[in-house]
Amino acid sequence: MARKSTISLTSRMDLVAFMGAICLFLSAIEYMIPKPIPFLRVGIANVPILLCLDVLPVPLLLLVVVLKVIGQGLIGGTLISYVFLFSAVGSFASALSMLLFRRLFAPRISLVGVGVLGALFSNITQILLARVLIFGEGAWLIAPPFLALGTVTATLLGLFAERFAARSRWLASVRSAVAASKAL
Amino acid sequence: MKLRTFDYIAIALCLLVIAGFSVYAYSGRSGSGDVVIDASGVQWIYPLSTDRREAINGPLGDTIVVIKAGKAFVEDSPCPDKLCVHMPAISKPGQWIACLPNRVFVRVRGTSGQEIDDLSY
Amino acid sequence: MARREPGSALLQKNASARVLFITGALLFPSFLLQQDIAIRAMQIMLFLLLNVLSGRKIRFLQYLVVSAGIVVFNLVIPTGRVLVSPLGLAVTEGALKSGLLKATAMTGLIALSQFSIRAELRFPGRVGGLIGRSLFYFERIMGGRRKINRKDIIGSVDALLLEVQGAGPMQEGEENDPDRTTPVGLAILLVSLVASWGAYAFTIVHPHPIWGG
Repeated sequence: MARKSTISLTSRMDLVAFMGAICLFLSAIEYMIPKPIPFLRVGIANVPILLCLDVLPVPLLLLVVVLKVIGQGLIGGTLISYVFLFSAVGSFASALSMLLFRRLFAPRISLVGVGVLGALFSNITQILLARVLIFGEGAWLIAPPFLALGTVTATLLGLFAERFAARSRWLASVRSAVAASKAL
Repeated sequence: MKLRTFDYIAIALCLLVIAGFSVYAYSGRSGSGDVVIDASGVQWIYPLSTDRREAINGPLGDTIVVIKAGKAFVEDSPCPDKLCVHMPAISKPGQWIACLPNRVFVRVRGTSGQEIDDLSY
Repeated sequence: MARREPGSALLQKNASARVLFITGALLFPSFLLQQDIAIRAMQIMLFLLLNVLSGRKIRFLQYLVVSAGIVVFNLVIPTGRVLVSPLGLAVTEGALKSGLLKATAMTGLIALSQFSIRAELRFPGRVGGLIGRSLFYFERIMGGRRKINRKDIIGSVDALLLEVQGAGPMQEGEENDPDRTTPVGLAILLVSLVASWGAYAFTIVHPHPIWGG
């Protein structure tokens, strides 16, 4: 049901910038969700990455992650702090692991499984980084609840992404635009 | 929407990893005890897991306590009998080395919090 | 959130995003290399002052929660002389110092980054242009966020994305960072740099820390 006329983005780069913008928009929403601990994340800014897994070629997908990470650093003003390092390492760990598992098990894994594994790898790398940079050996104490919470939120986000992917006319239009640009 | 085979495997893997981290974080690991050093009213605590060499000052001078490969021992002490230097290295909760003339007492304690109370000195 | 108008704070009017970023990048090593906790605390005060001058809201509670959390986690592994033991939990000197060193690094860098990074900062090159484009679309989406309906999140978000995407690509020249750096702004930033690096030089010449390190 793709309506080709709705695509007016001039190039693939515009599409990448637009995907990055959606990530930034969701980060802004994430920022408004009240949380008991400042660095806890639901992870909604990763939903566009999840949706792009089957749509964008790998280099463009990684470029979206770059835009997401740097954009968050600029908007939140955290570009030259540890927060940026955590965000970059976590985002790339989740994007790369999600790509890998989607490609490996494609028809037999849904966005739920992919999202859960992405959260797992992202959280483990961030815990390792926290052990070195901020918490010392005490980091292990926060690992179990942190990972458990990540699994729960990633399951919910994966379910949401599946429903969105099935219903969205916008995503369908992006799909057909990318397919058309490949055909050229 | 129905979950697929690898979704269940992914979630199971997560639960396994969480269980693994829980066991590692919340149960006492081997070599995870602390070395507690008491000397003339001051106390020092060091984890057994990190190698180090500390000079503990007593009335006669410095007693050198060494932690190496999960064991603690007294390397040197200014006391006349050198009993503490000849005592075997300690690594299990409850074990101790005393340097009485220099008033330095070294003991191993279980993972932080689980104080071994069967000692009196 | 990103703001387009220059704002009325002193450093907003008297320094461009690029000059602030360069200052932040030059201050960064003078802070991380500093191992004296007392001097680090003074540097954090300086960064917070620069935040005030830049019109950034300081979230004191967040800084406190983060610092306290980091210190507590570091106390879990006792190391060194026991200072006090409230409720049977030993607070050791080594663990406290390492906790404070890490807590100051975390919060100090946030303070440093927050005043020196502005949303309108642009990097040169293709990736820089792409970032600018992304932030442009971001503001467009933000502008339509009221259209999102809680009862039909998927439908309303879908409609919003179609609408914003349909509004067409960014036109060249819509983004710029006018150079509004003045001698006043430059002087404030130079004094901060000299103070921060001067403190580092002091610890090299005079290697007895005031506290920690």
